[in-house]
Amino acid sequence: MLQYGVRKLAHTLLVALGVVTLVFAALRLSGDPAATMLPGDASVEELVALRKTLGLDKPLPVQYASFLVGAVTGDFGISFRHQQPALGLVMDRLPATLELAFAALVLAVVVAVPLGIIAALNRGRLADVLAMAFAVVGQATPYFWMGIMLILIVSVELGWLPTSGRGSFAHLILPAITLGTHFAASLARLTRTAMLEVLGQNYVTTARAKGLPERTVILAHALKNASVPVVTLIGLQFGTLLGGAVVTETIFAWPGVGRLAVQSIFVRDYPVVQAGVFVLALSFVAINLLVDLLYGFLDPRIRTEDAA
Amino acid sequence: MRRLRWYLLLPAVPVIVAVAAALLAPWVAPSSPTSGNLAARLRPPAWVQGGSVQRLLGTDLLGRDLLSRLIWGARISLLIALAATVLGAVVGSLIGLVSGYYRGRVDRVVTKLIDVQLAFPFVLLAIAVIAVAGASIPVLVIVLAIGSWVGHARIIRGLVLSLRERDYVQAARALGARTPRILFRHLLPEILSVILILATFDVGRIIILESTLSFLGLGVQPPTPSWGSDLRDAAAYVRQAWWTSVFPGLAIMVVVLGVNLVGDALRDALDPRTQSRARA
Amino acid sequence: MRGRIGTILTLVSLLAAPAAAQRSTQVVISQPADATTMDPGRSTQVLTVNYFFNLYDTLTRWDASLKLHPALATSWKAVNDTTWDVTLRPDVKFHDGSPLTAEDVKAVYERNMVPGKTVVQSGFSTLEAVQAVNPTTLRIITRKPDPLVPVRMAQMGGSIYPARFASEEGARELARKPIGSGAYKFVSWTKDDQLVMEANRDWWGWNGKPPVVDRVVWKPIPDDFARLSALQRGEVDLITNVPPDQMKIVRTLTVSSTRTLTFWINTTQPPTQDKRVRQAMHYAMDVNSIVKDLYAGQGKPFSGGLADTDFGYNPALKPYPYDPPRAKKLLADAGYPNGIDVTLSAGIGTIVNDKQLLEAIADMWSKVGIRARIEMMEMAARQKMNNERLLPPNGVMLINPQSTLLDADGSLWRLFHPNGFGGKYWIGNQPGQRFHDLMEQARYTLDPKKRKELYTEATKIIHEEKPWLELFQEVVIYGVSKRVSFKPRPDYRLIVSEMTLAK
Repeated sequence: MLQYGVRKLAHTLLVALGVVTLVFAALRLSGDPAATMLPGDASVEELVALRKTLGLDKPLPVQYASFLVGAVTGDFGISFRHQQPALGLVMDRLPATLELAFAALVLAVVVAVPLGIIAALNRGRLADVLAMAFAVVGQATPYFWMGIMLILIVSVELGWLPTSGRGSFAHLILPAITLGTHFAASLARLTRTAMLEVLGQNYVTTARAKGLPERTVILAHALKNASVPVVTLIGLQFGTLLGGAVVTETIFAWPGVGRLAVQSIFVRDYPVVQAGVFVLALSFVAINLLVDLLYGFLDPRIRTEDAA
Repeated sequence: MRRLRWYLLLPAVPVIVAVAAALLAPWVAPSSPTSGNLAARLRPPAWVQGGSVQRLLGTDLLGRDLLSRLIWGARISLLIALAATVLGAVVGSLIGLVSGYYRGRVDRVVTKLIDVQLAFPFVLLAIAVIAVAGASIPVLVIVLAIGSWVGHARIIRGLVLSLRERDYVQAARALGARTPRILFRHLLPEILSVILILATFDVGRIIILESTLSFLGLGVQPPTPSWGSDLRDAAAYVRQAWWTSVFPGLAIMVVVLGVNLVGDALRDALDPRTQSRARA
Repeated sequence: MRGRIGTILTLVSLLAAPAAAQRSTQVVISQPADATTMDPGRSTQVLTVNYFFNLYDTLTRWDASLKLHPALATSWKAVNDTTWDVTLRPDVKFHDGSPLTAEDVKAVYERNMVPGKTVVQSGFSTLEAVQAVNPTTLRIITRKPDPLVPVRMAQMGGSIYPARFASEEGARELARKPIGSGAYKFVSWTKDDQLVMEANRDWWGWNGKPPVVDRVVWKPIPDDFARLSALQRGEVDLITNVPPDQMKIVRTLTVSSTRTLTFWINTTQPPTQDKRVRQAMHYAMDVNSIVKDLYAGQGKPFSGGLADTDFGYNPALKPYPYDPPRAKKLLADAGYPNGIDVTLSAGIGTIVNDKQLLEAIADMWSKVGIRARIEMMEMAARQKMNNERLLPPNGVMLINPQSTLLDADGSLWRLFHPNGFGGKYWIGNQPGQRFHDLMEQARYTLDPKKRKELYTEATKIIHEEKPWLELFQEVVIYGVSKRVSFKPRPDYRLIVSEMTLAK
């Protein structure tokens, strides 16, 4: 078990390193942070001097080496724009993003799993069709469109919830719905198929034959086994969720990492982008580690398998 | 293999309509998608007061015929989605095939690569690539393919890992069949249906992704019409001119819906042991 | 009814419950982006600069009619052609209680003068040295005669903070926790969420009256739709960057601004090397229709290079009319009867309606044979092209330069100077050319009447030559709730101490 943990940790760090190296390289292929900071009439002399101030005059390998050394000690450098430690800027916003992602996740699970089960149990009937129609429509609506419609209808027309910003629980509802719907849609469809598959298997038939109440059959046997692919999907879709968070955070003025990272890419604030992507990648890997652990709980057979 | 029932093909209708519109755009579009009259902007659809039959679905922000934009937009949106899907599917499946078959070091490298790709928030990656290369259609296709190859690679790899132990594969190898032959003659046909199903679901996902890129200003360059970027431009006008965003939105929704349901039907028909993990 | 309950609920949820009395004197402002820093040396972004002008004072300042007034400086005079003596207001204190002296001003200006230390150096590049003669007297020495010294003291980067923050580490602290002497002091900042300021009751500028607004909350909302909705619902009192098309749905305040919408063109190579081609591009653009239909009438077509807020503006120059046949003829005369190909570009999201504007112009041009390919450029890529002056021969790029000094020197000559933004794109700005000589002469002339004459002739050259394409002067549009009123400023600055509130 310990060895498994160590191996997993090494793998995690390697992945994060790979991601960050990719960002480091991609960022430097175009644009110039100094150029984005200076007004258009700045002289070439000013441009060169600012590059030097920002440490961009050094050769790339040197920049990369010092970046790596810093990253190992948790120092991602000082933001060009904000003049503050980049990692701090990211960590300040991480709770907001996690709060949003978690709310969306909970919402999705609460809505989608029952929907999927109902659809599976009523296969081919109206309930199934309706549930799946809902799911597909959810999947076919772009995030920003959903966000704008929710603001228009729920906030402006009905006046029920605030339009944007973070603060109370009320502020969380619309962004969570926006971000969660997509996920709920795929989750509902997956739950349905997984349930259908499990319901057809021997042990469920056996359980039924033993005369167990239908509810016990579904909850204790079928659902538990169907949850393995569902949990996998949650882990895998977490990255997509973070991508959707970029759009959701922008529409709803949610002070999260996604919005910060996008702004920072546009102005080439290298340290912030690198720190942001590193933190997002780590959270992705962490969530998937959690998923691996959940497997063990759901299905003891997979415990120590490396489910890469 | 279960029989493909005719009514399962009903959802294909909007897809077929969209494809037809895309192919026949120059002949069926009532007017130019890029030329308009500023003075006649934001005119409502024909059946709303103030609308006219010449502009069946009304006009957009620049006074262009919305129906013509939708028809030409089908061409761009579907072209991008199809091209990106095919590219992602081919690359992803090949990587998955090779990695699953060879296992060992190749496999370890590939799984790392997959993990890196999965852990890299796609939107950020897309911005980085488009910033470097500009938002031309080929670049968009590549970016979107980057966002979709991983799904194929993961699933195909898993599938091949188990298939390669099957008797007939072992037999072929024992008989001295060369690796490419085993990969393409024996393994590929087995997994083709899975690839096809996966790809169907990707088409819908990619149309949505393209609209997300448009939201960030990184979509198709104007004045080229695409559903995603038209929806983005019109979104802020939903109060004054609902038709400008509702119609592109509906087009996206109906086609994504259609493609997904076709995918469902295909899966049910081609693959009795549902590849549930494969998609969603 | 719903609206009022909504407002109350929102305010309660927004803030850690301020006392009931305070609520009436709080203003919530929403711009599309948060400030990136509180260090006035490190941003010239309009949205960020708006925070600076409430927290910090400058030596001189413009009022809402763009008249220059004393601020931290009570008087100034040119001792000789290159030396200015400035008398500072005595007994001014920073928000931390320390006194503001000539040493602080000197430290700030000296930091601004070093290339690479700040991003405001270009506005201070004419200065040679700054000396603190005594705590209330400052001496400014310029490299050459500079009639604009009093105006320079009011520009971006002229914000004064304590001398100890002029170092690298100091600036980093200032960036996070600003200390100025301005009408409002910093309270707290959660980035991308909200920044809170409260009135500095000791500010010299209140003139004995109590501040109207006690507390200011800045809440950035990036999306136009969401920002408008927040105002409609009463969650915020004031929003900036209202798209002209959406003006009808909220109460607005507008004023013609110090920014102009223009296109850079590279006139050093064919086809735009020929004046007739440039004029043809102009005659083929229906600017009036663009303003009327696309910008809801918000914009004033102009010609001659200057907005009407600039010193040197020449009202005699009338914008070119829309005249496609003439455009065709000019193109044919220039040797392009079959038209030309150009690339029309803009930075993504930098200018309101930018994408639609380019599409409309491309469509208009296509009718006379100017085939325009549109390219919406990612911001950093565009900025790099601008800073390195890399506009290709057939490139046409949308820009909206702002006048930094409300003077032709801070707009037209800042931009067209050989070292300027568009310095490489036009031969007419080179030494020996009439335009160059006029502008240089005006730069070092202290007599306003003489300067005016020089600019009148220079703007005529721009009108005739069209080294850039001129669309219209932008309009600043604010959305406000019923209770807030103020005179909007052409320079885009949002100054809370100038606002009044309805009961």
